[in-house]
Amino acid sequence: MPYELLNGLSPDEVEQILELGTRLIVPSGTLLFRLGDPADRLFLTERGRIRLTLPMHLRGKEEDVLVEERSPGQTVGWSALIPPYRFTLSAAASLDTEVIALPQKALREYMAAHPAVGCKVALNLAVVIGHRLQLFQTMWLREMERTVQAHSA
Amino acid sequence: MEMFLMILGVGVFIFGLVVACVRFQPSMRLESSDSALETERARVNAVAPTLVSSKHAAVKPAALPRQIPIELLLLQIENHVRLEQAAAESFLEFPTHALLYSKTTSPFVN
Repeated sequence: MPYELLNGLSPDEVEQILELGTRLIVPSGTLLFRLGDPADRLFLTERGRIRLTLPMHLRGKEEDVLVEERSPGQTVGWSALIPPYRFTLSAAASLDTEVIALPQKALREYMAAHPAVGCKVALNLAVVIGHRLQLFQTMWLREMERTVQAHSA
Repeated sequence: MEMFLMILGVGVFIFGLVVACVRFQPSMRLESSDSALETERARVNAVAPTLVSSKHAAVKPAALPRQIPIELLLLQIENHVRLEQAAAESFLEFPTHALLYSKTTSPFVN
């Protein structure tokens, strides 16, 4: 399984990092973490699908609205490596899902002990975060354009 | 002479009184017709409030938009997010002005 976070690492290095983690089965519909929870683990999706949601007020009720979906190989919960180490979204399995949960402390200690690996992981993380940023600024611009058009009409 | 002046005074007083009554009579009639008009206006308001009151005129149940079930609304939002993400992904893979502003097919905003 090619994990986006471990891209460019040798098979041995990948193995060493995966050994830090625990495999978790997340049944469909089960919550993995909630917005605001301490981000003490980072997840690598092994199979299935994870829904990332944000709460939205709809007709006086708070509803979880889909923001993004994560597929096998993708990373969930990078807030574990970014201050203030709290999840900024909620995550739940939309199918029966398997993830590898990497504890924040163990991963940071490993990256500090192996700086070359740590540098590659940090760059991979930058790619993941950068992609999300670009994706959402594009979506935001498209929504803004529609809003402006609606107001001008 | 004194008697004549007394009778003349009483005559002038009665004449003044008559003139005053004649002058005030139309204004009293106007006041009574105003109050009658107010009574009539209140009666009409009570019978047909929507014709004269803007407070009631706005209430037209048939004109209210029908609310779709919240589950359907959430599905529409979800579908919209997926379509918009796909559009944004296309733009990021090959950034052009046309792809950035490509029209969405999402029924949520069309």
